[in-house]
Amino acid sequence: MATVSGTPDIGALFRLHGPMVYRRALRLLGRKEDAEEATQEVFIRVMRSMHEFQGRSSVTTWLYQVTTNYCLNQLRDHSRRRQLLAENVLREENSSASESDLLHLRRLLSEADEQQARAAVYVYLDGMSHEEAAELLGVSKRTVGNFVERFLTWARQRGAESDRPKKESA
Amino acid sequence: MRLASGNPGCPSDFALDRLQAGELGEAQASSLRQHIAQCSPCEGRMATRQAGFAALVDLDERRMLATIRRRLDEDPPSVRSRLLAALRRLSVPLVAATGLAVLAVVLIGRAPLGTGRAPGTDPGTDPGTDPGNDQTREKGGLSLSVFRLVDGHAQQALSGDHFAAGDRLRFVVDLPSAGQVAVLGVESQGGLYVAWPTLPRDTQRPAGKKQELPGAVALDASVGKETLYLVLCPSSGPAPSSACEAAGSVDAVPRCPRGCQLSAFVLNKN
Repeated sequence: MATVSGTPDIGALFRLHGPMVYRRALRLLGRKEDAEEATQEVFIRVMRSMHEFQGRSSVTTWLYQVTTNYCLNQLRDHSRRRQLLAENVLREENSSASESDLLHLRRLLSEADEQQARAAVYVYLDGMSHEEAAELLGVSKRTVGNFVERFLTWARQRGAESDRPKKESA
Repeated sequence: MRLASGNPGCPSDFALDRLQAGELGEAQASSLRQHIAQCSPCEGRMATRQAGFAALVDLDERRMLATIRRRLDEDPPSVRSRLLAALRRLSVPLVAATGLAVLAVVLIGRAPLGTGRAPGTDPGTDPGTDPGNDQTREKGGLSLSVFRLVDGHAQQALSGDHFAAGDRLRFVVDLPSAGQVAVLGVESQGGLYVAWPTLPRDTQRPAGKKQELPGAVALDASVGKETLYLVLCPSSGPAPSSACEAAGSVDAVPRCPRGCQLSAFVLNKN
């Protein structure tokens, strides 16, 4: 009942990858308590769907995908969206970006098209090359470029042009 | 404003995370290491990764891991309960009542056909079932809570927690029906022992929640995973402390007489 036979040791998996999932969730969600909850939820989902993983990709790739999807869903949650709009102070730590830019990006991500939001996270927040983002999204590099371009176009229409995130390196 | 970590031209977090996890090919890993050796920000980014949870000082990773384990132990709703819930929502009461009756007959008769046996169901029908395959936990059913005595206080432990030799444990149980109670332990090698009662006691208990079993047990020095089973057997049958048998491995449910119910709790002893 406590562990599923034949699956990896949750303790070892958590100790190896938990910090990565937490840091990633913190950057996406901005609040420690949310990041902590997200980390726990990601590992629960991963352990429960371990049978879907076997040999499909690297563990890191899979965890990035699950974490991104979970956090974006959290951002898109109606109550969280209202909270983001009302939030004035961020508690982001150890970030190279200004807190207001991250907050602005989160607001955009909470309303953007799902695929475009994922591409924007990988490219802008994670600093991935289009090739890396393509691997995680399961699409071509060209499609990643299209997603990102559409996201920017949409963000401009949302009146975000003056603060839009700029990817300085591909 | 750049949102990504590191300087322009630096590897992504994804690349560094894969390097840390040992998932990159040698050529790519070597190239990244060369960059890191010459790039102060990336050296810091990599050091943070290598520090693991030690770099996240405000985080209680043990509590998080315990929560994850507890949540994993809380099995998702069974097909049976989902079907019953759906039927309850039917607008025609007569149809729902008829359907429930028919369904209950079918499901009770075919309980072993599910994805696993629920804690609190009759192990006599399939005594060798792996506890890891259990998929259901009925609300208000059989439940074992374990408390560790620390400095005279009882702290509730979670299934999957780590324990040490000498830890003293007390048990609190929820019983869906009256019957004879025992707490059995399955050692990492598969051997079965009686964790409660350790002294001759009246093991008859009434139905009810949060019943404390008198006395405490101290853990021995053996290490590894052990599983405790709260066993509830009918009042009229043999006592579970003597009637149940080991099934051969730490993950196998003890074989108990028909009509007994079991609920598991995992100890990791180190």
